[in-house]
Amino acid sequence: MFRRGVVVRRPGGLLGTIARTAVVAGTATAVSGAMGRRQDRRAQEQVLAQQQEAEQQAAQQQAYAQQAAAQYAPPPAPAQQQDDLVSRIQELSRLHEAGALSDAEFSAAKTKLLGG
Amino acid sequence: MSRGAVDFVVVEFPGNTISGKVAEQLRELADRDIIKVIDMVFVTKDADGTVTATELPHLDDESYAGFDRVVQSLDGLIGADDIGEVGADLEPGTTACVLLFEHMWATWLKDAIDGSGGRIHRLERIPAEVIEEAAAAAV
Repeated sequence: MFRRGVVVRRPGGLLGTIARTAVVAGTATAVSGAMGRRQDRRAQEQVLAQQQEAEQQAAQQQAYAQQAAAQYAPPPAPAQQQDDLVSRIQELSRLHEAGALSDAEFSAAKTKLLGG
Repeated sequence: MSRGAVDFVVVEFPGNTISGKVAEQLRELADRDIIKVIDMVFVTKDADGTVTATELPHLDDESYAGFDRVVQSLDGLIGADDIGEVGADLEPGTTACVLLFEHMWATWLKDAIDGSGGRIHRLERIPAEVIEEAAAAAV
């Protein structure tokens, strides 16, 4: 019987590509199936890790800026940090509603944000 | 014709044989131009956890005949990393048919939208469980 030739497969993968796309787009679309959920979680973890990293960098920059500006200007008002906290909780809530975060993950993240 | 969205589907079977019924159903969908299968590979996980990928041309005669009629092309788009990820997720002692297929109806719809100057503003796939949950909650 005549058979098709064996295809040469790419070293990378489609699944990794969509996980990256989801991270870039800042979304983690709910996909059916256990694999999709795992992938979403992975993408979500990446997003959270990136956010944390960005926040750490921002905090560091802010610390430098504060050091530099300490003698010239007062430190930023606490109200601003409060707003930031609220928006981050709202973002978490949005992810939770979208199904990207489980109940447990959502409460853990929220507790962490609230410094509990 | 433009390219539509593609589904990456993993169908898991117990043991190391793939049901011929799946091939039959896929062939029917392909014959009716509802889907177009553009890649396929089989991944087996032994009881001891060893993962093996088998390409369509390496199947036994009967399985090859069944699936060859289904597959439009083997584009090689399912990458080595995908096979690794599927293998890692499989239960030991199972075989999976990994397939990539294009939704032809979606392609036609997209062409019609493009041709009329519209654009797809948003496209989301809602998992069946979510729809069922929402429908149940609405009652």
